[in-house]
Amino acid sequence: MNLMKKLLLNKLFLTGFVIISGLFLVSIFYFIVFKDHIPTTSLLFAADGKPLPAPYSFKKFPPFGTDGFGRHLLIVMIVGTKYTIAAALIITFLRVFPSIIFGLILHFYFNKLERPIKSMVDSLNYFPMTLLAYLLLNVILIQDVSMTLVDGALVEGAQPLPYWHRVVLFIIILASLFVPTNSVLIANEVKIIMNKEFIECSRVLGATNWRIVSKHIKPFLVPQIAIIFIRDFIQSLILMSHLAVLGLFIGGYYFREDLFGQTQKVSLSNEWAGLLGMWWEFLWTTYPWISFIPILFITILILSAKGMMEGLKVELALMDNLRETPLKKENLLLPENLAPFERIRNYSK
Amino acid sequence: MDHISLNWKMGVSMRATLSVLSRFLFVVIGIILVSAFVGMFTISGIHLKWNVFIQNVLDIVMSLIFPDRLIILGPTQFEYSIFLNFWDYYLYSLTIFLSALFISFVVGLFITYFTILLPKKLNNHISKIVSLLESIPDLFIIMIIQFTVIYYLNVTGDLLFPVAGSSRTKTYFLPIIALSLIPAFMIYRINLHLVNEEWEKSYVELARSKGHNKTFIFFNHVLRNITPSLFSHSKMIVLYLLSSMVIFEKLFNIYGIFTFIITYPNPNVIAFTLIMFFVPVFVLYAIITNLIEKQTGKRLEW
Repeated sequence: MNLMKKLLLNKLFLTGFVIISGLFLVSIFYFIVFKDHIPTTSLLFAADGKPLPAPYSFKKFPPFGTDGFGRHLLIVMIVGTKYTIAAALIITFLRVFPSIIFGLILHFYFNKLERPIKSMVDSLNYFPMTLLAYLLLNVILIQDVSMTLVDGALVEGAQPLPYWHRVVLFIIILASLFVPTNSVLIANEVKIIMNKEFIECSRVLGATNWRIVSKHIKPFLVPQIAIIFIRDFIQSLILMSHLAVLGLFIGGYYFREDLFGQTQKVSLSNEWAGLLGMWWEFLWTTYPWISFIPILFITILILSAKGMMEGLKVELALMDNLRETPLKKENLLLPENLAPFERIRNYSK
Repeated sequence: MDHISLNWKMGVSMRATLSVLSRFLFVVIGIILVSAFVGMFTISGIHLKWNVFIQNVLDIVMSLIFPDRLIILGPTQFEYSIFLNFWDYYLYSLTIFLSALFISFVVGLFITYFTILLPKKLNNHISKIVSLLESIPDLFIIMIIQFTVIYYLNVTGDLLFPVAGSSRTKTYFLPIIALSLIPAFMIYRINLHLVNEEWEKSYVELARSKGHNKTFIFFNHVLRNITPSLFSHSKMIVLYLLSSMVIFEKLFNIYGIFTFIITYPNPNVIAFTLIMFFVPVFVLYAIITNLIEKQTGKRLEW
């Protein structure tokens, strides 16, 4: 496709794409060749026989040093990469693709209810999403049976769900929280496209809904969806790291004794958000670089995605200029055209 | 004549206030429904049943009408009213939220002003860089700020600002600055886009030809004209701030409303706290919407 070729020539898009796929491929490669083996350094001793404390410096074990268990951080990060990117991609996919269907249904079959549904969905946005996700997942992701006192007797709480159920529920809940907003967003986009003149011509010539969707709406909607997809990818990553800071890891955790016999929460899958939440405490110790590593990687991932998005926007704007006269600016600024979170149509010039 | 214009003005302010009020009502309903939904997920298990949901909704509505029903279970299994320390938490969060909102707007406006003074070619590059900066995760910024303060403490021995609060001492400066940084970038980017569009209009050219300098035009004409559009974008900023607040309260150890909600996640407490939090925000919005409508005649939907 023409657009694809243009995108691959766009520097910003290409850089972002190469970084993300490079990270992912390195992680996959490590999984296939080394079976995710994380090299561990056992307790080191100084020259006079005293044991040295465990997080070893990046000077001794370049480039990042080791964590409290003597695991090499670079390898831990590489192992976690594929889970991070895969989880974020799955969440994004579940956020965007059901929304396309719902958005189209909302536009074509619930035309009368569109306004009330939109204002209801809009008011749902006022419940902070991080908080909502935390409150729902906090209950689902419990790993230990809690004991509560009710009327003086110890009562067992709910049994923890099996591991894979928890992961799947995490992903589904995180995705479904954003489906209403996205559906409305896509319904708005469809509405804008449907207002174009040629749609009416097509209707007069006898086109059905399906033909209009597949022949006329699709070419306009796909680029918008690509932008929404990348934006949601970034948002999912941010939400995952926020939840990890609040103590909810997507891959779950287990307890492990470090070299000094203190039990610590350890992320099971080593995905980056979990590592971030786990290692934040190191900021207050003499090993502050450890907490910087996951957030640096996450930032790189997010910035690459953002670069892809900017490149895509630039190319799309160029294509739009070729295809038709630029849209009237006054139209773009009307509040009715505002999407719930961001005006997608608002290409930067 | 005075009579008529007064009437018209009254009508305008009534209409604007009513639209804000109906918006607020929708938000209240939304919050109640979501809180009732959250109430189905309890520590003792997940009950996805309609009667539990309806029971929760009724419970929340009753608690909103009779606030003495807002009861939480203390650590010693002793029930007490939330108003024992609720207002402390509430005011603390509100102070941080409103100051961050205010600061981000002021900073965003002033950086826009300084960018306008720069030549046009630089403008585009800056806009691109800011667009990238804006998407840096807030966690990264918090970490850098906390690390810098701690590092400075290690090197020189004095604590510039308290990094984390406790139940006794409250920290304001750092959380507010950290919270307002990314929204400031967001506002800046929106602003720059709007101002650049405005700058090409003919009245600016006329004003330039009359010999007014950029500063005068920016603050007297352009700013006034972009305010409505800027304002309709501000909802996005408010929602972003709100979502980040949850994390900020955790990381800066702020005893605010989100800590409160997380500690006592009863559906009625959640609904009450959030609704109370939105009251001042909506009052602020009602005032600003009124002002803008009186000044420019434009009705804002947001």
